[in-house]
Amino acid sequence: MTEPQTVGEMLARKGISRRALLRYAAWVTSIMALPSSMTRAMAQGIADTKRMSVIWLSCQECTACTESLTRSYSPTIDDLIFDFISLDYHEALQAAAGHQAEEARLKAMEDNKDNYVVIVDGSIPLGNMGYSTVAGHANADVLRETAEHALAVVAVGSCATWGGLPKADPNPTGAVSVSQIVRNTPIINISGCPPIPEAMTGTLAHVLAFGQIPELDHLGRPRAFFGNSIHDRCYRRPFYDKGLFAKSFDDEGARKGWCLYELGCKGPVTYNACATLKWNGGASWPVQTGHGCLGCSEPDFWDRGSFYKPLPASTEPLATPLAAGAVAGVAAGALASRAAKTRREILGAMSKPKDAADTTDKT
Amino acid sequence: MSLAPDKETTDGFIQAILAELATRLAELASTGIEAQIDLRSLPMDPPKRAALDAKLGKGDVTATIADRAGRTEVFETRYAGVWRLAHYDMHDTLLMEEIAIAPVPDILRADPTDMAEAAARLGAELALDTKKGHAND
Ligand code: SF4
Repeated sequence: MTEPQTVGEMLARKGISRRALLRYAAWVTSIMALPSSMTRAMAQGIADTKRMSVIWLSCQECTACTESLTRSYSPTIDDLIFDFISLDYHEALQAAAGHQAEEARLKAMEDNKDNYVVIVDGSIPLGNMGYSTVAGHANADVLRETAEHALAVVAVGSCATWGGLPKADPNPTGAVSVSQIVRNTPIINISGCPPIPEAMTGTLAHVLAFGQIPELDHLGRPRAFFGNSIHDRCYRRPFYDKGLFAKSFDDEGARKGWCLYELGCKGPVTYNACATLKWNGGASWPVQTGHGCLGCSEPDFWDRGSFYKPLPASTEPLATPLAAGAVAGVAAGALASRAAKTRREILGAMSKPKDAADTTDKT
Repeated sequence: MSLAPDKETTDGFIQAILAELATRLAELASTGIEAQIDLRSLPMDPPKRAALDAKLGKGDVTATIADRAGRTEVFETRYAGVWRLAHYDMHDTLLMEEIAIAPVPDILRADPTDMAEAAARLGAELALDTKKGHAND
């Protein structure tokens, strides 16, 4: 039997119908707030494309980003993404080891030049490269080499996007973000500690279906998931508006579900989709459990004072990562031009990102 | 039956959805242009949702799509061409609900690729049966 050429053929072999794909596309367009009319185009785009080669590089990280995406304890609808992509290299998940693993990465790069996607979790040490190496190669070198001919680099988690906990003062390893290493390749930042799995899978599905990255915010994050603050969409907001605040974790206000602002909630300055998508298949999210938002998707959240002090007392001005606006623009423009080499250019025109900016060297 | 308008269906939000539906349905009837409304994205508390469902009611077509990746329940409302769809994942968790304004919701139509594959498969099965028939002659 011949190898399936497209995702659609491969799904058919596995007994997953086009109707199931349409259901998946309806769900992704919904969580990404795309017009419902794009559902069929997304399903068609995914079905008609080749499986996307993905190379996952792990730098200074804790594996929670991988755990968030795979959630091995309970398969969900977005696990279909693993049928759409070919995960050609992932140090924690791949069976191959040593030279074989490195050969798999190089082969995937060669076979899919300009069309593979690199996912990075973890920050990259520049202080002493020896802090984090793979097969004797420094993270920064492997990332530069792998990103050079990638369609896009997706930085997942607050370590890859902002430097993360390894960068916490005094930053002993000289940790930096992906955007401070990668040049001339589009970067999509999906921050969070860990990031919401649907934000990762939805973004990948969008790139796969349309050959375009979704619209990004000024920090290079998909607006669909990072366009609103937690506070904007929080179900406790009516209590905030009425000035009803819990003063301790066990007082009457806490029991009545009042706003957690005075207990240190960072929801007003945090942009993420926890309040709408929630966690663990929509089961709950931090504020719903009675704990304020830590602000884990924002730059430097780890160094912005106590998690338990109300905002004015604990928050320094929001740090902006280097040339973040430009990151978004580079991502938008460069991916569009690379994708134009593929058959996806027609569908890609449907989701043109708004921003465009010059390429910026961030090192 | 009371002719007094239901308090919930006179709610401005529900009225706005119904007005949108009426416009889209008229457009479908005259031009064939289909539309969808994603109910997941609309902030509706349970009483409002119940009021909308009560107003739309159930028509005479119901369908279930069940496959390895989940399930979709579809029914036509009391208004021809206005359909309610609910999509569930493989654990029966509700993913999203939508209203489709269409002669038939897209997800119910057989896909051209699937039909071509089915035609080829049926043809091959027939050829095999004929061959077997000849062998038994
Ligand atoms: S709990 Fe936090 S996010 Fe929710 S309303 Fe209060 S301050 Fe805003």
